[in-house]
Amino acid sequence: MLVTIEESDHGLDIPRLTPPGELTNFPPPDRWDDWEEYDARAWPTKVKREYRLVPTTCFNCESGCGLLAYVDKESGQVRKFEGNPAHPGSRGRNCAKGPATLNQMYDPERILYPMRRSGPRGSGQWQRVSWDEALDDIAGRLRTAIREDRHDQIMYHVGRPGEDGFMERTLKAWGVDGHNSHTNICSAGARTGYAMWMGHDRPSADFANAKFILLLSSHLETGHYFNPHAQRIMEGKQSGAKLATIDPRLSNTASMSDIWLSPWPGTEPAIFLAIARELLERDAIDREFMRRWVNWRETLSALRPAGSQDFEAFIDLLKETYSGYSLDWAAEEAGIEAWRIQAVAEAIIDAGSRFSSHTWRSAGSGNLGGWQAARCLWFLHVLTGSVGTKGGTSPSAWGKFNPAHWNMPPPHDRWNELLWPKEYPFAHHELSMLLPYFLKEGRGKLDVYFTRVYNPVWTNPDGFSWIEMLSDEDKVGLHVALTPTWSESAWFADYVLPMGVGSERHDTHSYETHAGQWLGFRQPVLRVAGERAGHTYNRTYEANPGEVWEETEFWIDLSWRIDPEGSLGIKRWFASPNDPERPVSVDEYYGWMFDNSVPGLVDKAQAEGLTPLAFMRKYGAVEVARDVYEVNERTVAHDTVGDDGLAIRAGSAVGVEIDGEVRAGFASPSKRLEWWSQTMHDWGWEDEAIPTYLKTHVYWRDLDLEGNERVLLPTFRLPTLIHTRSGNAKYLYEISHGHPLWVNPYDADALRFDTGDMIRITTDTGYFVMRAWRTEGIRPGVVAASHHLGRWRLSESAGNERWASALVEIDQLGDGRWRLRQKKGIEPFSSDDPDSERIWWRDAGVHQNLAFPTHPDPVSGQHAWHQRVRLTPAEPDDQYGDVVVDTNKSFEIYREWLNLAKPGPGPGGLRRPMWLARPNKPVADAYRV
Amino acid sequence: MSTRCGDSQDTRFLGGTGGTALRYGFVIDQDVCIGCHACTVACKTEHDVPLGVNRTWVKYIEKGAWPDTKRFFSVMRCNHCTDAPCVEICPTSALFKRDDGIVDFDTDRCIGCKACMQGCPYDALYIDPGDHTAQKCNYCVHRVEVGLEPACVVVCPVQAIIAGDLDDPASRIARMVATDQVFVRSPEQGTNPNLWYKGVEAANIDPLGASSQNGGGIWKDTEPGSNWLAVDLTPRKGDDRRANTTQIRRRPDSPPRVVYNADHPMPWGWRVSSYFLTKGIAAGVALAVALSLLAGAGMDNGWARLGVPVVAGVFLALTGVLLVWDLKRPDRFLYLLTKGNPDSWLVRGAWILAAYALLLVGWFVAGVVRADATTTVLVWVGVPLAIATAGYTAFLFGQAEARDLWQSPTLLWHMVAGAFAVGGGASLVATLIADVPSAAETAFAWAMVGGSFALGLIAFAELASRHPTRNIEAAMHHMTQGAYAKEWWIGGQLLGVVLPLGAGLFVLAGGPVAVGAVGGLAAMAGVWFADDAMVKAGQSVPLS
Repeated sequence: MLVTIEESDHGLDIPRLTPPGELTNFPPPDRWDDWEEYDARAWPTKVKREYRLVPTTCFNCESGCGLLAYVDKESGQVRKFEGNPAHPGSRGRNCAKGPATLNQMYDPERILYPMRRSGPRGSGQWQRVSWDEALDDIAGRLRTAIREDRHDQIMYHVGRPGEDGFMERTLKAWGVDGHNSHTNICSAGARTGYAMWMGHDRPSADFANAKFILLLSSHLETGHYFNPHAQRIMEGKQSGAKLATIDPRLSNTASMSDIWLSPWPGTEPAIFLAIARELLERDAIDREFMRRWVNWRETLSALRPAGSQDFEAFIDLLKETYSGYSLDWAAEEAGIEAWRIQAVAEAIIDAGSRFSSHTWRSAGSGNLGGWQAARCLWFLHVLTGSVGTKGGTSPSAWGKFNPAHWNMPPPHDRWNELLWPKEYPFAHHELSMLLPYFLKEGRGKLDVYFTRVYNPVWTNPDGFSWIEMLSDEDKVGLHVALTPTWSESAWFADYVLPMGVGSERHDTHSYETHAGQWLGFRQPVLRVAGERAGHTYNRTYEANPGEVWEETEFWIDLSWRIDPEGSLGIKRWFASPNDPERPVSVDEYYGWMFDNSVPGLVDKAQAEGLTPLAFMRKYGAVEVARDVYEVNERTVAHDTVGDDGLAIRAGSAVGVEIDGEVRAGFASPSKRLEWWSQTMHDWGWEDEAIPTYLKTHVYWRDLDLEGNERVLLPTFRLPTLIHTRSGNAKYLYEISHGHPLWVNPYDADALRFDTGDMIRITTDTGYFVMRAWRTEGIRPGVVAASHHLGRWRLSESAGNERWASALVEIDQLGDGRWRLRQKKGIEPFSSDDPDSERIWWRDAGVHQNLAFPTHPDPVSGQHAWHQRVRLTPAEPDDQYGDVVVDTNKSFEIYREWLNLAKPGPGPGGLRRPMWLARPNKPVADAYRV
Repeated sequence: MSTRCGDSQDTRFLGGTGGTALRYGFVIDQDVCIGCHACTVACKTEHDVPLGVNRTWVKYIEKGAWPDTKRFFSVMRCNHCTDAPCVEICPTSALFKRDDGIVDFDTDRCIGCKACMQGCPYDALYIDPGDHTAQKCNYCVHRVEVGLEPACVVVCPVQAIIAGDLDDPASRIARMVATDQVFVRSPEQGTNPNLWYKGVEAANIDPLGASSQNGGGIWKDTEPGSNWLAVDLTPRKGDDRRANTTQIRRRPDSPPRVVYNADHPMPWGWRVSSYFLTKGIAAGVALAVALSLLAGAGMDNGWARLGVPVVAGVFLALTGVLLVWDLKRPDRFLYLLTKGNPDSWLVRGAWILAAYALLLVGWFVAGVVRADATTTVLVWVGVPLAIATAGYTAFLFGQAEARDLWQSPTLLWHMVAGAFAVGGGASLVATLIADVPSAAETAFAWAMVGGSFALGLIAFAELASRHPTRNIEAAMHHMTQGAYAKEWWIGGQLLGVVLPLGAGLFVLAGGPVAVGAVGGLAAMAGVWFADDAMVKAGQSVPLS
């Protein structure tokens, strides 16, 4: 509500938005272009500041929360970021990382200009180059590779994508199967577990309407999608929902829960299956839902061909299968009290179809066989019919909107074995973390390797093997790091190209934050504010700080230079629709998308007298659908229905016949929920074709617990940090920088450690040295250390953020042995920002991932992060932060795990089941060996 | 705020409160708060708050033993008290209460004396390392003035921070305060906070409710210079040294412990302890002369006529130097007089010091012209001024509501006794170089003996009495048994009481005056140690 005052004797004052005593949360959008506010620092002197408020999207985690930049009209700088009230996912609210975008924009340590290495790779010698030089050099190399049919030597390796579809489109236009992601060190386990049920590889929980919420995650503090989910979990809780969290460590989420289960790592599926048994035995299942939607006919005919083929026989099969999974057995197995599992079971029964849950990494990313955690968790939804219901949990795809991209190239026809090796036909997705070993084995080489917002040297297991790979110019011809900030990996690049943070780039994205769909539009706020003020820009870097580019324009310009004459067939995908002799502009690109492929957007824009692009520039996001439930039940148009019940239209299955009606169903081969997976069976995984409990590589009964062996959980996240991308946010680092090893007092006493004592933690490939913290917030037998901390740099003033990194030296001790040693921790430094002299914290943490061998799960391809470790007091020569590793040993361990895999090709000579999702999907022929 | 006459519709929407009585406050719903620190960062970016200080922060404590451990959060900040001690103690009214209930501040008036940090029982204030003035949460009043909620309210993912007018019974915040179970921090301080906690764990808002951890905690270092003493409530390690394997065994319930908190360095240090001594000497040498008049000595000696005003003047000047030196904005020390808040004992103290200084000037001038009758009058006029000089600090410390130790009713007598002890002692030292009648020497010895004896008696009384708050108990513990025990016992009691008392009695019994002078030096050192221990111990108890 705005009441304007035409004239008053308070002419100097800014008119209020509300009556005195009443307050509102945001300036109304109609005032965003011309907003006045008093200067906070000058107060109580009333100094007016004039702002343009430009919406954009946070790029710190994957949630894609809306931000509103306050661009000062006088200084042309962003004064602060608030939330975007028009954003359907985040609804104007943010976590600590949203407003900290300001730190990242004005970080004195940030890279502002393109740099090319001038000495040997990794030597830390850099020279500034022009974008033209960089683009021409890289494009020339790409052009040669493409002309010489070396497409597979081109690889784009992305950490945080933050955008949907643009990069895939680019790679399709190049005809390159070169999309590499970070999924295998992240969510491959959970994705595989979900995908084997229904094709969709992620959950989308309707927390706000749930009666019971079960988290195998820490969504009240981190993760996809922390802020949007936390809002809705607490909404549900305030409406009476019960909350339970499973986590060996007391996360803040576990602390907010009504029930905390702190099991032995890797036993989570046992808990779920015991609950499943309880539901089955007590007949607390939704028979009608199961009868309609579970693939029980196929299951019975495969597993019980001689028996009765009716639904009750299937229920009997389930009961028989899980008869051994009693609550007491699971309690013993998980090392927790049975009443806690019982309490969860009761809550699930009580909630019925309003039971929502989530898992993303957690057990799925920690354990060998961890993918079964998600599979067993989803089983509980199938049993209770809480799939796609209000207050239940839906497949991700129902909550995510994918717009069409302009001038989309057709799929490519290649298959890159470095990304999709024959050993892992079910992997979700590329075996990104195995790249150094594949190159070491001679499976291929890279000519041009882009890392984009990705820091494998630090983030991936066995970082020294990554250093070995990146240092070898025979293996990696040209390494181009696209990054908003320094990283350990960028240090080993040939080009370091500064890219915008969330407020400095264009892209679109949509995430399954709730039972609805939305499309977000990230935009460079200084450019948009400048354009509103009448400036024109050819490229975003003209408005950004320094010469910071955005990826959209980078890839368009790079593609243009790969094929300047159009002879390679690439240029046509990037030529402006209005002038084929110049590259497409971002306005043309996104304008087409908003004009043509976002339901309801044209009408909404028209209602405000705006073009769809102008509407998106004004609001930054648009709601596409709300209250999306039970999409599986939607009837679909089709041509024919086969004997298997699958409805076909234009050659592909679009639905399934249920009780005489063709319904949309799910994305599995049967369009139903697959308790038993024909695919897994056919590809040689008969025993794992159903939800089952697999023994983890850190199984507690195998540990020498009477001695000094424990399980290390190295993956937990803190509410304020973002992997390795928060070192440029001083306010975030001020809050979280300490990196203790959480040790339960039982273990601390048994091993005679106290808080602050230095401990040597020995893994299978080496050891690292950190300090202990006695806490009741961790399970006895388990120790934990956050995954964010332990950043380092090799040079005093470059290579990493001094807010966040230790100065280290790296020594090769010979024969594959490496040592990283801290020369000094975090110290104040001088810069344009006076706060850099005020740094008061010293702990940079310990880079534990270096000492982890790679553990690819044979089914999901997920790196099993948990480690069996031995804890001993630090030795006299040990220093805090020391990491010593033998990469020959890590190569051996890679081979051991590789041997667990069951290589393809599978039935029909396929490299991968065609129904399984994969990024940058090629044509069908490429699947065949 | 003035309102415009005429159309009442319009005035409702003008800047300020439009004349309506308001009482802005916060409810923080800890049932909902997830401890994410978004409020901290939103506040920092809104106000450009430097590293090392916070207007709002989140405190974490943990309770219970695995597997029943719980972590509890509380959002800490200014309470916008109805009876704000920071406003009362602020010598320049840089801190002020607006008529909409917000406690605001004006950095242009702040002299950086840090008294507000001693007055606030909530650790809400800090000295900004950029402009060296006291700052804190001001309810984003620059936003409120245009009708916007504070930045922390807007950012909160779970809407756990509720802002609004507590005096409007229809407002959400007023309804919550009326109907929910809500709590305030340290209600015994009588500040009438306008920040209410819903669903808060008691140990979170009780500064002594959980043991503090040195060495950080869950994910941060301890800030250097933050010398809060750890309050250790944890029993030592259990005797069970076997690793837990299969069965669940609970450790004996461990008391609550702080695992995350913002650090708050002690605002006052050695300069303040030293200023106690210098003004004690400045006051005490004059008081000793008054005693010597009673004992029959005249003003016709150089020490009484000129030595005392010079020595007292020098120590008074030193007092001023220490006071100004301790200001974070020494360039603004004159604001004490030009922008003084008459309610603040810092300002009243400045007046007292100024008046005493004037008197000493008169004394000196009268001494130079040998107007002994006038000098005598000035000595007697000076007695109450000297006592005020020595003793006003007790009232200033009394306004430091955050420091319960300093609220002791004996503090005034401690100050005055200290002045006699060091005044007598300093005068005895002076007898070694100045020509002083023997009656005066006796009087000086009596001053030292009496002062030291009284100091000892007061110390004994404090040790022997039960203290009304746990804060005092903790501070007393730190002073007499903990980190400051050596300083207090050896420095304060042995040097400051036993030695001067013995030396003084020895002189009175006919011993050489030089022994008294040594006792005098001990008295001065001892009073410094005792007061330094008291200054530090008073600040050593956590407030948040």
